[in-house]
Amino acid sequence: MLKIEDLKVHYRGDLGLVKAIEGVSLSLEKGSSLALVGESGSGKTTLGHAVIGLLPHNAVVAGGDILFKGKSILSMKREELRRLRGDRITMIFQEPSAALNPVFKVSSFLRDVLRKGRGSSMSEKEIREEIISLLRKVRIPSPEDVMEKYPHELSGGMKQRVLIAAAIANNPDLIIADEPTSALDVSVQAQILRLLDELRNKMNLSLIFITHNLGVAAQVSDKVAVIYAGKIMEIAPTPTLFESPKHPYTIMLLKSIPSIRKEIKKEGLAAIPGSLPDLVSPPPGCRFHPRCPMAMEICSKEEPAMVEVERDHFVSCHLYTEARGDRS
Amino acid sequence: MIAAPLWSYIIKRFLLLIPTLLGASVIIFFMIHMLPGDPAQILAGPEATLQDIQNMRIRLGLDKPLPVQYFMFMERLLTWNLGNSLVSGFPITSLIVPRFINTLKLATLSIAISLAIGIVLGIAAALKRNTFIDRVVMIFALLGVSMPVFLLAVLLIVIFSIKLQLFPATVIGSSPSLRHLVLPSLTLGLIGAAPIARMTRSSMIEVLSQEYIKTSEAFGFSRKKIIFVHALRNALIPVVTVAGLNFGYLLAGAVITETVFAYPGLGRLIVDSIFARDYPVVQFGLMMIVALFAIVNTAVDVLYALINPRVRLE
Repeated sequence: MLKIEDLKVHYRGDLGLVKAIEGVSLSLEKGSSLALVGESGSGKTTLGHAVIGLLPHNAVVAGGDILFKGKSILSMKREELRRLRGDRITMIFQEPSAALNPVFKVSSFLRDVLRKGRGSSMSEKEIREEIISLLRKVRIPSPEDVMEKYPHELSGGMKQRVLIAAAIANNPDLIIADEPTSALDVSVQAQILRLLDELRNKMNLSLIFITHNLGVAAQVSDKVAVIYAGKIMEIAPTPTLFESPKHPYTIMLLKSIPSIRKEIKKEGLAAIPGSLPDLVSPPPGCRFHPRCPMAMEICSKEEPAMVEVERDHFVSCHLYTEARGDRS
Repeated sequence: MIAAPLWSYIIKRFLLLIPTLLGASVIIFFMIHMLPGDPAQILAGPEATLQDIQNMRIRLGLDKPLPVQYFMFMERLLTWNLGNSLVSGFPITSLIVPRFINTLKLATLSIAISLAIGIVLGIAAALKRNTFIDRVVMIFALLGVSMPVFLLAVLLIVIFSIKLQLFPATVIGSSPSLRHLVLPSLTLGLIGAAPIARMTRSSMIEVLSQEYIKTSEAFGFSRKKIIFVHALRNALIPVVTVAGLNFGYLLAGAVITETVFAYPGLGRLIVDSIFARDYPVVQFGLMMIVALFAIVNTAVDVLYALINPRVRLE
């Protein structure tokens, strides 16, 4: 349903071209869910914005394509794209408090979304009923009261539920969730994640889940793509990625998750030394090699190709390219 | 539909008017009494004897202690029995009320012009930021803020009444028609449009960079809807404050414009009465302006709460 082919997105900056996304390919089937995991600045949000056609003005698509149901999003006219947004593709944001317009009641926001998707054929009464049923779907208690409230009268979790209600209002095919739980309390996080998973199964939605948190990714996704400095390092079905991670970056990310089962005292919590490379002039070869403990000579010279190490499990690392035969 | 908490907010705001106006009446009363010059002496004329002046004082009630005089003043105000002008002898009501209506007409028309021009230009400048249009609007706003009001008044007279002969330059008689209102309200309206344009522009630019505008874009709303509904409603919040203050200025501070156009407004009446030491007229005229100013401010507060639900929390 969604296919991203060798996408390249650059930002014009004062210091030169920032190569935020450099040749990313992904695909997503109807009803499945993909987690995009990476540190801040890795390009995961840019990727999300590219899919919904919301790149900022200084962004340039330098190559590749995004196909939604076989049609190129990048070559769509503005009007066509506008109809797609909020209807077939919707988005959930990181900061529910900032994402809701403070001067409009919940009901007028949802009414606008419904009217936009379904035209003006719905009567006021139908809309009201639809709003109430949407708020029920996202498990908001006493929807008749909540719909008459302004955003500042609701808690963060409630606001995120309202935004989710808006995102599912017109039965979309794809929802892009950009760190939807990062700004929420941990207890609320779990509820929101469960809600998203439940809605996805019930409504047969596809979900792109952008997060920096592998733990969150584990809960909501069928497939995880680990992205680093604008490139995909590893992509695998979620259970596989957690059981047998292949890329050194993924392995290090997994080690940096605190866990009750792990003996933290003994081993300490692993951190990844260094920071993201300068994306104006990224390191040659593999972009992760300056921070990689397993780096070999070839890593700084040649870019590793994507290799399928097992079924549906792809890695971009020289440990698994042709060189692998020589080493063993 | 207005919710119950909003009603209680509106009632509270209007109840607050009572102490405000009481305080204002005290200040006005004592300020007038601190002014140099003795009205009794002026009224009695240059050739009056000390006895004449003393008699005049008794007639005016000026021999009584100040607090008593204050209560007499309040009594006259509350019973709307304002007495007569010291200078002309006409009832003060008949002097103030028509002037008050004229001022209200002028202020309302001016603020309407200011808002219409200021908001349209402000939005245009915000949307076309850093382009030619933006520059032109900002230069206009700079001119409007820095140009003295009498200069613009004279310019408009030269262009519209002398060269084009479209509108009269001065008012003859005490009840100006709509044609007479055009040039004075255009003068005040254009000057007032400048700060509103600047405020609308900066507020609009800020609002357009907010996350919730990104939400509106992500939900595919039309640009028109995003700008004129989702953004403008937020952007107007500070504009309402500026416009409210401007309205207050127009009520009292339009004296210069009124003078240039010989417009029979309240501001001019008060200034003339100050020069003539016609204190009762000054007192009641000021009271009218203060009352109107306070009511307008309260109305602005209520309007503010209507467009910005967050202030109703208190």
